[in-house]
Amino acid sequence: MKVYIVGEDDVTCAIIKRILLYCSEGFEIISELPARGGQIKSKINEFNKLAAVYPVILLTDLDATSCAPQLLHHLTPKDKHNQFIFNIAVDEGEAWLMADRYGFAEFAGVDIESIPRARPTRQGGRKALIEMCFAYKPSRFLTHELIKKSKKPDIIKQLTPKEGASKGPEYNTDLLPFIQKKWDIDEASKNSDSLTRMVNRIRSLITSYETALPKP
Amino acid sequence: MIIKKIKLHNWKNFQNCEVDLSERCFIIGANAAGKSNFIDALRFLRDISKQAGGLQSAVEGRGGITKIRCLAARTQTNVSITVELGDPNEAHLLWKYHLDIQHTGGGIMKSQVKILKEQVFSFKENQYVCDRDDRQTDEDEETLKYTHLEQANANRKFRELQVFFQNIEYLNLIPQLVRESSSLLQSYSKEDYYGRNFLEKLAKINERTRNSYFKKINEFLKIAVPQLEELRFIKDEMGVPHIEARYMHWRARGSKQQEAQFSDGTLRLIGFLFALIDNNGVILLEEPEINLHSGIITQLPEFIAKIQRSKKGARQIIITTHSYDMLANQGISSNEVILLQNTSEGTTVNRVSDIDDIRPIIEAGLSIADAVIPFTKPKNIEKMSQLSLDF
Repeated sequence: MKVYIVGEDDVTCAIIKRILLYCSEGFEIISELPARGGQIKSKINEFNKLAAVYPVILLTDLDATSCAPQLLHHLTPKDKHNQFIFNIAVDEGEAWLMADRYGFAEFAGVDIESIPRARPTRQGGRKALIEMCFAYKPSRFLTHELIKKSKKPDIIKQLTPKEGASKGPEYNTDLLPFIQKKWDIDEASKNSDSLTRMVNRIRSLITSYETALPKP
Repeated sequence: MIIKKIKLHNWKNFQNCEVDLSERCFIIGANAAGKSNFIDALRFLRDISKQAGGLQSAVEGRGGITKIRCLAARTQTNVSITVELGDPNEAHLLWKYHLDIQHTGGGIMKSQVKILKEQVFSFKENQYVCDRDDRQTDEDEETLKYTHLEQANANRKFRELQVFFQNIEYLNLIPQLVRESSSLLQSYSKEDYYGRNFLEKLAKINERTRNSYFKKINEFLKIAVPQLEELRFIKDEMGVPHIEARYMHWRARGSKQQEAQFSDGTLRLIGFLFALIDNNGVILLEEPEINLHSGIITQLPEFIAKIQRSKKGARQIIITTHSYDMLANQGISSNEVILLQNTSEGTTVNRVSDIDDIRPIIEAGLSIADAVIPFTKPKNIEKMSQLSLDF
């Protein structure tokens, strides 16, 4: 199935790609949009239009907004196309990665108890959802707190931000291989309902596509 | 008159390609996709047509036919170029030129090329004004070494075409070479704005014209490089041409600087402005974004459009680029952007408006840059920084 993917940065794009591969091997990514990340929220309507041609799979971070349903309501167009698969990572793609607590602890060289556990949180909806809980932005927790406890000297050097930088000098270099090869989505889904929902959305996209195909 | 269509067969990366060109064209593609080779086909026509040029020297200057012929070429070993010319806003064409060449010689014989076919079709007269092939009885091994395009006697009926090709300019100003005075002797081709010969070229322009060009360029520089003032052309006591400007600083009058002290960006900008203002033919611009600030780059597409509108007679500008900032300009049409993509059978060449996977992205309202740049990016580029650097 041909799809366009839209991610905020290299990490979110890698997450989308890995989830697609996890759900099916039949996806063909036409293009990663836009050419430069970081502007995806201002181009939602364009992506929605594009979804009329091929499915568009978007993943954005919750960022400053504290409530996913609110952000979803605010961002999704009224006439959202059903091939426009809009996903919000609570609170960030990095939280989904750390949601695979065993895998991430091993990768980062830290004790598993250094990574917070998931717990039910209320996002404004009626039902409490299971999500990873961090005192502040997950990526900041990762680079400013977690990594200090690492026993791997290389990882510390690569992920610790230099003064005035927000991320380590080799942040993507380290995280992308983890996402591509080690990240356990089954395990992570247990700790993140927003991730489970994205997987479910992709699966139902596949089902709707298969049922729409003419029967042989 | 502009080049409206180009067809290449076995030319460098291009086994077979055919694409429509517009008055302003942006050629994009990954590194080594063949952007420079694509525009080199036009320089090749220029090299054949120019004074002291000719087919054999154009081939030799490129290292012989083996360096020109496509690596994907299999049973067909000929190389051919076809261009169609016409006015930009008219549907009908004016000229069609076709050249088909093949390697000859080798062993103890000198390696050269011979013409298999050379054709010029005049749409005005609705007939071929030149139609040669290697099987005609009045052709022999010697006559087939020379195109009619390069011979004043033979091209009487299509002189306009020769002049058109002669006026194709290639701009790839390399600041290091402009500064290096010894490069004056080494410049590969005197016709190009390449190194030191840029200054030679300035020296040849009539003084009044040159002064009026400099006046214009000073206006641009005032905005883009505000600390440079009074840019002018001078010759030193040895007669060597220089450009000189006043670099303003804490002294009231600033101090004089010559090209050797100019920044890379300033030199490129000056060369670039000159080529745009001076030339009357097709201009080939090689990655104008190099050394220039992104703020200047974002202005280039509109600046080029303005120049095209203000000059009499149509002038075509063909630009190779990797620049997001340039392509983000919303005035660029998908007809104006040509995407080169590598395949095992050579590079494919398509207008973005003809590519099914990209057209919907643009129609949905995303900029050309957002739509096409992902297609020029190598698939696994993120792996680059994951490579081990242990030796």
